Amino acid sequence: MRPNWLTPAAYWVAVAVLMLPLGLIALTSLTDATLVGFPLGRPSLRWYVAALADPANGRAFLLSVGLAGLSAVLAVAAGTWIALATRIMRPAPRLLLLAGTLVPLVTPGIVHAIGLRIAIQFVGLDPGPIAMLLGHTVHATPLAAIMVGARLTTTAPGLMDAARDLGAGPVRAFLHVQVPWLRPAMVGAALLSALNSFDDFVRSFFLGGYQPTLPVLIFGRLRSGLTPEINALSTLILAASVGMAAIIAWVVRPRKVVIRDPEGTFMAPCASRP
Amino acid sequence: MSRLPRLLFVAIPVLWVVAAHLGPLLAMARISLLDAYPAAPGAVPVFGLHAYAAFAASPGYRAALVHSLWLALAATAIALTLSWPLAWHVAVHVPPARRIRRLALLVAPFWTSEVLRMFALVLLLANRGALNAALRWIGATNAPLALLYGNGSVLLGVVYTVLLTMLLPLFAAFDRLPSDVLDVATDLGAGRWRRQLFVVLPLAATGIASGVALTFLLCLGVLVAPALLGGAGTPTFATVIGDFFGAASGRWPMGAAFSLVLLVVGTICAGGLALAVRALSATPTVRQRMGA
Amino acid sequence: MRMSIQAPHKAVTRRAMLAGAGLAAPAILLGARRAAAAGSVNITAYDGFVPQAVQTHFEAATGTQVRIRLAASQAPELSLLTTERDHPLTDICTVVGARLHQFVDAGIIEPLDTARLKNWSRINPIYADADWLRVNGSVMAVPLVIGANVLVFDTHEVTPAPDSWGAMFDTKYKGRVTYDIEDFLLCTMLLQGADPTFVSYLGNPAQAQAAVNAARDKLIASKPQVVRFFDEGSELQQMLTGGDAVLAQTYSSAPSRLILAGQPFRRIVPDEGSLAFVYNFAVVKGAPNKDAAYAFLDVMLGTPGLGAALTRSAGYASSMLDAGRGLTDIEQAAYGLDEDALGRIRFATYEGQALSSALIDKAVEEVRAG
Repeated sequence: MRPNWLTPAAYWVAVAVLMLPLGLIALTSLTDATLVGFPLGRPSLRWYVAALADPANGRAFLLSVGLAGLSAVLAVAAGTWIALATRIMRPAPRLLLLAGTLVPLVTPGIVHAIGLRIAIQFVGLDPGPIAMLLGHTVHATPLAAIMVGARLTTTAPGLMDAARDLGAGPVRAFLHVQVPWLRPAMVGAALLSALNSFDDFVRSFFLGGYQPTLPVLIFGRLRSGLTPEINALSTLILAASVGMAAIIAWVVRPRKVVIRDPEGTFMAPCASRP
Repeated sequence: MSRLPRLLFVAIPVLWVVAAHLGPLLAMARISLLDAYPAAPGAVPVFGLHAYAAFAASPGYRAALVHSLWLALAATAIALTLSWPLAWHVAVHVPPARRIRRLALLVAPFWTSEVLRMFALVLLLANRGALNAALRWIGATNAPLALLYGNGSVLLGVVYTVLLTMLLPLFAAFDRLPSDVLDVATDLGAGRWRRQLFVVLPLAATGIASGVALTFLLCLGVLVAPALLGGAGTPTFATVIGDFFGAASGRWPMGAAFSLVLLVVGTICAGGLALAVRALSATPTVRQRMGA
Repeated sequence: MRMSIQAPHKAVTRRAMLAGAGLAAPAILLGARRAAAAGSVNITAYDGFVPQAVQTHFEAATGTQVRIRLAASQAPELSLLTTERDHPLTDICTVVGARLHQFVDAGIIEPLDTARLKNWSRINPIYADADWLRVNGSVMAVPLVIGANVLVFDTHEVTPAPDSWGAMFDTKYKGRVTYDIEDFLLCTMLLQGADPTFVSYLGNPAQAQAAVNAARDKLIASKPQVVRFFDEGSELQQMLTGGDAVLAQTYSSAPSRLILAGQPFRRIVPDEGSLAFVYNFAVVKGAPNKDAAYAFLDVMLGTPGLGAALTRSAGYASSMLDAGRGLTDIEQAAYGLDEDALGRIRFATYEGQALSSALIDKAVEEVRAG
């Protein structure tokens, strides 16, 4: 594809525009004033020091990260399973399953959260990290099911059969042929699920116990007003997330696929699609 | 697959969906039929459809629902228009090695709390905010522009909230487009727009439809953007629902009933949008001509 | 010729990385859960209502852990506590005086046994002996901090300085006014000569409805005055500093930070008076650690300098007898309520709220929709 100049320019403009509000958050935190707003006060790092010094921030951050990672994995697993199941179901049950899967997505956040809060009482589950994990997973599963399902419908029809013909067992065929095809959708779904979980306030509020997630902590503090400390905390988290994402991206950078046969008569490297 | 494993393979997700997805919904449905929840100590619960009747009888509530639907439609359209070239660029133009990094750059801003991102928009658009300050500095305006607390700022806030939900499915859809089809289309003389409309859209229809439907549904439930960026005009339906749950227990059934109404209407509209995308893509395509 | 596709050393796929992060999580999650129950007192409170000094002092003195769950406002707190009413996870909760009736009727809180609180006498009798704190003669909660509805204005933009709620309807400030609908309905009733405590309408619901309707209609008619309605103090602060609003009705702590920072705002209690709201700590019915809850409340009340500590961390004047002691002049100006203002403030009662809350809730919806 011959790239033109318009779309790369649009991309960088988009990145700048999306980052702009964050730039404002960071800018208004680098002040010695007690207020967030313009005109800015004198540049100072005192709020970063305060944010790092408060142990409640660190605990809430770790809890949020843990929930995000775990719920993303569970949601993608559940969503993939549902997508696969719909492939082998008849049209009527398939539609019902899809409709049921979508329910958490359509329900407004507060309604879903209160519904979950009441529903978990029936199974004797107390609010806390496990309940929050359930809530985040259930919230993210529909997205994962749809994204993986959409990708699944584009699988080349004979792909799995070809793998089986070449001698792979069903599990091996699935893991080494189907999953790589689905991977972009799974990665996208995992990313989105993790983000939604990290950001989630309303489910974490109703399903949480006495250890708050970061959004719940920030929300509670917002009542007294937006402070530079809250902005500093967010900027720190953003920096940490970008750092983490960079590390992950470097570790999983695509490598070459080598096709090799036992006799060594044919060897060809080809660039893999990530 | 043989009989039993196949049955189990299907039954387990079905059971999970019924328990975990439908359970909360059934709890809500039950509340919507009561007169108060939780019942006051010692009171006998009364079942009935009065909450739904209250919705049907009130033009104000119906107006709020319609307002939310239009808002969601507009935000979805804008998000689609903005995400398409971005997803296209990252999925197709960027070499595979750099693809994830480029995507991560777009995604990174969303690692901030939704509430703070909305406050950042307030900081940007307020009378004494960054944008007005910049405009005055370069001499473009004398008086501050009232950019905030209207339909425009709410729309901006909602788009900023849901952009990712449109972007990632589009990226996944574009990512697996066979490049040879696109090359053939170019060689056959199709310009950029024709390529997108007649080649990309049909091939990526499922992914685009799912992104559109997801984004639309998400827009309907957004609470923070209208709350922080909205004016004194019509509230969104989600806000109305939220207010019910913050009131005394006599109002909870209203909140529950309204959420079910939102559920049904929203699903129908989202399904309609997805079908519309599919219908738009059913035009004569290169693929058909190639007999694939 | 058989070809085997050798999967490259993709040992660390993206999914594996996410899975790794995910698997580390249970350690954190389960750890958090186990650290939970044994020997603790659980409080659902607003940010800053339990000064750090009090928490440290109590934990050191009794060895009981203080666990705090943050609530940002009464509405979500009421929802949350309602859902766990039959199996409470909280021992102490924050109740504003104006919502006492809702919490009592929903069966969430129980009467306070003041005999168990040796330090009860440290509370200013104005609050400790007040009618609104009692239901059927029993004290329902421990008053902590007091706020009131105040008129806030930008001293540069709003001249002459207003002294009446009527200023909010002055068309000179069209499109630059903001308020919290529920509270401002009551302030408008004051302006119209009605009784926002509803005490004079007891036994006469028609009269109460008429009074509410009059206020509601005035708000609907003057909607163009308003730039928007707000719910949270942070929204108001941004509107004031951002210049989108110059005149507002709000609860008294919202503008405090702005005043402390030297921004050009003033807050007053207008001549017609205002409604107070007192934030209290109430004991939850069926609380899992009731003894610890009473111990905590007693230690808290006995903490020296509690008044000033509460004011600084919560942002309101405290209910302690030594409320003003330890505060600087500017803190007193930003947080406190002077004698004069206190004289014009009225308190809602339990019986009055029973009458008013349904009427007011409905009127709020009507104003929002109209």
